[in-house]
Amino acid sequence: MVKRDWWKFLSGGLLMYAIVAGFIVEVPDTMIRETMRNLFFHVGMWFGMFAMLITGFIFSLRYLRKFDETEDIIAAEAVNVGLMFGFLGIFTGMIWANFTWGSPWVKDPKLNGAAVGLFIYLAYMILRGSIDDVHKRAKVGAVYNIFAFFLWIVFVLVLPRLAGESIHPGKDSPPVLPMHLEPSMRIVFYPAMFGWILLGFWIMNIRVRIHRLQSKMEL
Amino acid sequence: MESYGKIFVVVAVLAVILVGIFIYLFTIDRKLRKLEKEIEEKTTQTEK
Repeated sequence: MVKRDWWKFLSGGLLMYAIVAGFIVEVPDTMIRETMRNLFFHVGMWFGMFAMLITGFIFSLRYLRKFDETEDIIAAEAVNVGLMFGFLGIFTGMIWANFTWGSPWVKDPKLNGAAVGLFIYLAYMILRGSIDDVHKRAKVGAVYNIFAFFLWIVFVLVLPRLAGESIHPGKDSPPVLPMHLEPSMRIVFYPAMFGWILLGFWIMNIRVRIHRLQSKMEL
Repeated sequence: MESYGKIFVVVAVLAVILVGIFIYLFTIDRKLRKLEKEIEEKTTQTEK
């Protein structure tokens, strides 16, 4: 146990709080009843994904400035963890949708946008896997990753808002600030989101360290 | 089961997240094991 590991404990503590308080806190009596509590978990997946994708985007930009392979490794692993969050977000969303909208998948701009966003980043992983030369892979990957980030923003955050009618909530407030949330839920919501994001960084950190060792072995 | 409040939906969502993270951690575990093996092979080679 090292002193700099504090944020990993913070992540665990926040998520523990999110689960316990998430089940206890009063939620407003709306049509969706208790499933409102999914907000702390399902939405956390998307916060986690977004944090990972931003990290990937930043490190791809940094890679293109100095062509330092270690920065490309961080970008690749950030996107990898982001994809894990993305798939979990889709699956948990399908469970929730099945009970509220009666079907795991409804034709909705938000849902379809999220699916397209996942495919865009899956393509990034496939693209990287298809290039054997390390330097070429890093360069092509970084350029595509920057492009993918903007596409993801358009498909997940912009187009569903422009599309007008959407069954999925969260359209009327800014992307990261659910303005209409009850104050009692907010004190659970924000720590929960922070906990998920920190967990993402932890897993990313482990993957980056393994990846670095791997590239050292190949030398 | 309380079907009125549908609290089991929340439980199902949490379970899916936990299973998902575990599967993901297993893939990382396998990756690390492969790397450990490689390192071991390389060090025994250099000892010879």
